[in-house]
Amino acid sequence: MNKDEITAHVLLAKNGDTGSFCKLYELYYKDMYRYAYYMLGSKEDAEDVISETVLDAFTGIKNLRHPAKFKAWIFQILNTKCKRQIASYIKDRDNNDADVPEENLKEDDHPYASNIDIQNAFSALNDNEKTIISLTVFGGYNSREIARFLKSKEGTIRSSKSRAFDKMSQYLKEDFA
Amino acid sequence: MNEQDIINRIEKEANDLPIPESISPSNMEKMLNEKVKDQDYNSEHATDSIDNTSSVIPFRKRIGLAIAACFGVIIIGSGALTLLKNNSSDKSASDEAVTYEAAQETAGADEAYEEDAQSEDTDADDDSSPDTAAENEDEAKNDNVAAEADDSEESDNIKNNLASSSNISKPESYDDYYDTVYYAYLESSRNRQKALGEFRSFDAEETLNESTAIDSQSDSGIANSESSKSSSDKSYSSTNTQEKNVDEGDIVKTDGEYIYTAHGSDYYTIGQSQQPFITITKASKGKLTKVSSIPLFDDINTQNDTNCILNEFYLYNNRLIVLYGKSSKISGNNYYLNYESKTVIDIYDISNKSNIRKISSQSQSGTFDSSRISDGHLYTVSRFYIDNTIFGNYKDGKENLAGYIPYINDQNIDCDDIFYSRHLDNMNTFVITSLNLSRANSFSDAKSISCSGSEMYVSDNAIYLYGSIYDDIEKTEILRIEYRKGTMNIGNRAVIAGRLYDSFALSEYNDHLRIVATIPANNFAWYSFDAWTDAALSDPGITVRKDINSVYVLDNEMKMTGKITGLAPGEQIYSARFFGDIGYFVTYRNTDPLFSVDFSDPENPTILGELKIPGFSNYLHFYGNNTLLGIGEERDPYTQNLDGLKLSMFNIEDPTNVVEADRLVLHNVYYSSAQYNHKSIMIDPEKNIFGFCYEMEGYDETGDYSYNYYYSTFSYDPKEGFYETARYKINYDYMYDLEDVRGVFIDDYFYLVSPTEITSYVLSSDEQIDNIILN
Repeated sequence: MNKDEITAHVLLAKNGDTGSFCKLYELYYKDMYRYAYYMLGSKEDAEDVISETVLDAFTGIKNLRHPAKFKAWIFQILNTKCKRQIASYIKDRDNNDADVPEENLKEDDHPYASNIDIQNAFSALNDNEKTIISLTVFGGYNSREIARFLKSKEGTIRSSKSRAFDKMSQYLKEDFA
Repeated sequence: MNEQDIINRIEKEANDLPIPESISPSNMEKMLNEKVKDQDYNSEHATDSIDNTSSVIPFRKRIGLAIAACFGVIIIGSGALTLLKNNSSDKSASDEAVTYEAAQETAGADEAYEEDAQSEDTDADDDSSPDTAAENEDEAKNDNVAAEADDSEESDNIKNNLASSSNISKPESYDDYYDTVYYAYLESSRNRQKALGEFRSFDAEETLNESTAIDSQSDSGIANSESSKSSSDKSYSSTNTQEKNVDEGDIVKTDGEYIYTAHGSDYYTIGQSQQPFITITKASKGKLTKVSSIPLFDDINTQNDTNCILNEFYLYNNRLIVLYGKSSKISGNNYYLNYESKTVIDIYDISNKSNIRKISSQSQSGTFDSSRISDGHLYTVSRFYIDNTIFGNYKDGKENLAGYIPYINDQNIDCDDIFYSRHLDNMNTFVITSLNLSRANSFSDAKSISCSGSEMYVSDNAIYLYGSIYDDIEKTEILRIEYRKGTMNIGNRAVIAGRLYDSFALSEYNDHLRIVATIPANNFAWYSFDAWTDAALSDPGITVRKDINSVYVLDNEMKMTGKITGLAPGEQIYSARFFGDIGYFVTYRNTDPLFSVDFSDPENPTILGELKIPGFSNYLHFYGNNTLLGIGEERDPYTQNLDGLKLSMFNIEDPTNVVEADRLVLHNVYYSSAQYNHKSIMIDPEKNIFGFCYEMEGYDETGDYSYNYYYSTFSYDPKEGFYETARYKINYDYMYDLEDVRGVFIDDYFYLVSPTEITSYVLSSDEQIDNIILN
């Protein structure tokens, strides 16, 4: 789908066309799910936030000013939902997935991951770093785009990103040693 | 293991994740369709409106002189673009006449997409023959000869300018306004239809019959902010504002005796989360006593209101002014019309702290955007969305005033107060009200303006609404609204090349608006145009794929009087501040050039000096007589590695030779709200104190990598340089943003205020006095 087609579908979706909306959703939903899964570490919660995101995005799409920015916009909604979900983990200590120390993560917690190293390395990051890495990998954004997305400065993102990669790299090195 | 390896591994892992069937597009579509059905959404209605989009009725009346009037945008925008597409490497692009013709051509080409206005009949077929460019041009001329002349005049200006100014239009009646937005909608819809084939964007300019004259004279204040108030023996901090005489709302305020704090400023879903409130805490020599708690949103209708969000509040002469947004369900058989958003302004009398009374509640359509207090009036901007689903049926839509006419206190805004600029395709309408705070019984004035603005800068004389326009290129539209004692006059608008990093990029002084803007690199056309005007002629070696910076000076009519272009290629503006005739701004790539610009001659701004130092400043503040404080990032000039947060003090005694007098680097600090939100900085140069909060990270004694949050206060001594006077640890609990932490001082006591607690200390010392939990 090229930029113009995306624009056309956004405009149709603004008019309440669920089909067009879902065509757009289809373009990104796999990455959205991966993003949510990595941020939340739970299949069920990832499904929930995706559904909520779709509902909010569909009702809110008439407020989307620049059709070409549909992807960034829906990721923004998803990111907010994930943040809220993480906040509720922290509030509700019984369901504290977000702060699980790495050594407690077992394969049972990640039934779909054959190799949990990379996810453990990922879970060692702080929320901000997780967000930045997820946006880089699943959103395909560069530092400048992430900076605008997170209302931060490009330099800050760039350094957080390189620190996050350093941490993961350190973790993976230790793990293999 | 390098970054790419890690990315590859995450991707590989993630690709192995099975995607649950529950979130497949077809299941989601099912869910949405059910939802839509639940909401009583009339799907036929939607289909209708889509079909109708192919039947286009041109709004020639309104386009009128569009062809000529749009040259500002077109010449700079599509004109230059067309030129480049046709002849991108040809240096003859520097021939202004060529560009002007190209602009005409482009305008004509766009016009060719205008179909004939036959009737109001929405069933008109989509095969009506497109007019030729020439015909349209003729008609435009016939429509308004006077304006045509105006435009030619303007075109002369434009040849030398990077900005265009033009008038704002005004409908004669609600019906007229409806037609305007309706046709604009059809136009954008038609572009959508074209999108699947050949997508063309509509780029004609709307003009108006007449613009409101601006005739009042203004005496300019100094564009500098001093953020402390002193009354005889009492001194206390106040919100750090851009302009000295223009107050900005915030979430923490003090009047020197009490500290007012907002709680639960996050999204509040009615009945589901804790209702937001404002607490009043007496602060007496560090001793804290909670005296009152004001529950907000007390007149919520639990039946219809769905959620609220507290935006900000003000203190003004024993009045507490709270601004919040509210969404409510409204009746109607249209899905989108089921909800409406309002901005509410509640005013409380707080003269008696034990008996706080709400004395007034005003509302305006739209979600909250921005507000200011100046000359005793509150100016509030909200954003109202024209509901384009009403256009499904032309006649029904017209009767549905709620879909396109904003409310002011549940009354449709007066037609005389409706204005629009050319960018109607976004269906963005701004509602601006003024409220006399000493009477506060009703709005003094209200305007509705459809334009691309979204940010606001307020000087002592005028409100400037500005916002980016993204076509193929990034431009900024700036609209001037003059205000005086609560009365607002809509002035002219200008479109400039580039984007403004924030409201500090604008400053009004001596009847001129000074602007610093960055033209981003991906805007090939803009840069080339810029290069064409200036840089390329002098330095053809400059590559076009670079950010470039400009300085503009506009007069009260929003006509450009002077400019400097082609500054700091490859760098972006990170901060700016203006003091009197002199402006300072910081750009960054490898080092931090601090430019000083002399604006004393509005027709000929000149660069006075340039200082290059490593890193950059995100925020600038005049600190004392001849010094300028910068808060920003310390960078290694070779590796670009972030070394920490940097404080710089620039000696600006001689603007042609600015020197960095001192610097202080906070190592392991990579984030501070001071860099992004000026209101989070406490600063009082007179008292020689400033402070802000930040995140410090690193390995602690036990070898764990940890994050800690602090608020530090600093002083500056011309001989000794910077020194940190105190450092306070913040009990940050993840439930609020670090950006919501404020520091306040009253006399010799410092109060660290977070959304959950207040802790008091002796000013510039770690000695804690008291602590109070507020929720």
